[in-house]
Amino acid sequence: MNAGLRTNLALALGIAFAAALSIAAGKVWLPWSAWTFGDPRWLIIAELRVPRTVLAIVVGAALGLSGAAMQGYLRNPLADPGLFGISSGAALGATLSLYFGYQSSPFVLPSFALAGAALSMFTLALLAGRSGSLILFALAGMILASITSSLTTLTISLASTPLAASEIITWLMGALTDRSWDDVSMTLPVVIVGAVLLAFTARSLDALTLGEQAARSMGVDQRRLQWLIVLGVGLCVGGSVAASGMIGFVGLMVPHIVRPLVGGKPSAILLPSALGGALLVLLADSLVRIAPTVSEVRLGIAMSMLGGPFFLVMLMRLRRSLA
Amino acid sequence: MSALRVEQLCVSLRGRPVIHDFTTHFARGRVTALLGPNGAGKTTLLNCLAGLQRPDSGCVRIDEVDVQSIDRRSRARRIGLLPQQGEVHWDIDVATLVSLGRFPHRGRWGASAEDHQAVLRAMAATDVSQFAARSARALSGGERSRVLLARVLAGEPEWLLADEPLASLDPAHQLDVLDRLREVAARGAGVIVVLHDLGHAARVADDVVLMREGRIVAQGPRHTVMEAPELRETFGIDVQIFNVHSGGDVVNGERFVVPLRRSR
Repeated sequence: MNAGLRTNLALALGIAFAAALSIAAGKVWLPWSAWTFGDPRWLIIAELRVPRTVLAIVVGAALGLSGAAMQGYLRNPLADPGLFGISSGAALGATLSLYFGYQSSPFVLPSFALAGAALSMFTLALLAGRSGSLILFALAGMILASITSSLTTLTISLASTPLAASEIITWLMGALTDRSWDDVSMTLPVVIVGAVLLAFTARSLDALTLGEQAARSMGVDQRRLQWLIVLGVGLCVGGSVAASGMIGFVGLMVPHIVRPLVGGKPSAILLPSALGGALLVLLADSLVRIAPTVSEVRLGIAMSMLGGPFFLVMLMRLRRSLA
Repeated sequence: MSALRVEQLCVSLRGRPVIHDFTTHFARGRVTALLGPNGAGKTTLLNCLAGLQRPDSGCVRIDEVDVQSIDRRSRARRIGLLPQQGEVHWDIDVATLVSLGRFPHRGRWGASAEDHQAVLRAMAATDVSQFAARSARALSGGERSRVLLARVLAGEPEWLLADEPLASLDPAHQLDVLDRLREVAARGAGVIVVLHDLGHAARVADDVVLMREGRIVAQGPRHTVMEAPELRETFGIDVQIFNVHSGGDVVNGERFVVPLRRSR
């Protein structure tokens, strides 16, 4: 059995255990005996815990996969889907829907978020131009991210009531609390399409290991690759932000953790990164429910508290290897 | 014999003309050295030959077909390019790196036995089989350049374009790489190599193209081209040429070109 298969199986097993934990954990602890159709607690499982668990898997997998694809595309281990400006575009869309108070249907906010992500995606593709150049692409993404975040801040400052402002801020922190099957049915198809597009980039990403010129001489179509990456990451990240708000660091951390296990080849880390992302978000989302805090810690904040130190350790290692 | 023809090629980059009305042809089974000062347009010419750079006018034909009209995959199978910068961005092992050379040949469902054989042949030809499992980033400069050459050879292209493959190599490794290029040509492929070392070019290349500011100064078999007036016009330097008639390991008729000073 090769290293890739072993890692994927171990991660899948981890997800199965973490999913069970996620279904059991929360304000009401649901032991194994409650997991039957007739039990009165079944309603909690079927309508709250299972959709939340599924959503954690979908969001985590989407973020992990996007991170792995982006790092491969930009050939930079510090690249994160957040760099693209797509997640902040989605956040801006969601913020606007909260600002205008359109909460009549559960589909309004996710639709706004997806529209925001789509708009960011196309602006990014326009800004980066037809050249398929990586530097232009990264710069365009950073500029887009800063513009959309400042528009989000503007929206918050213009909010009519303090309540609306705090509602937006809370949403932006990212969480999977009280999600329903509606959220799953909205997010899952979007993420699946995005993931399929990213799967098509695998071999081109391998060729990019040898640089842009070599990859082109091997027959990689730079423009097609750029479109696949923009659309794939856009759908994955847009779908995730629509369901859960901003959850950072997953796309940055997970590819790093799996890379030593399966080797550096970009195509080899795509699946393990998706599985690892699912596992990480599942565990983090279970922990915020188990943690003895007065109110549940927002998942986005918990992830940043994990991700910050992780980033710092990585930087220290990088410094040592450069010294 | 199959040939690569360049017909009245004009290329500009960012509005600046780089190659002017360039006409030449390359033959398979031979090593052609491209020589010229920095900025002469050598790399741009290689990119055009590989079909990566679209010319303003004129064309590059491979067996009478315009390279721009060949689809990417078949073009990549026929023309292998070894870029100047030996970039390796991720920590991958040597065998994996070399197998990337099969990229244009591989089907959707992974490598075939033929792919595997080609990779083994390429690693044997460049003498890198013994570190197949080592990380490509942990190799010395000389080892790495052989591995990168193996990557191009694994694709078994009809044309091998190499952009300064000797840069940053010590003399022993320079000779190694030149020997490999000669072997590739001996097996029937066309080798076009950008060199900066006049001595190597005078000894190793079958044909030489001298270029300056995007134009051809002289072209032809090496002993007709590697002459003092042509080299002065190309590089602006005076050279001393020694013709060898006997002695040691050098073949009769070989010549040595030694740059002396900038010409006045």
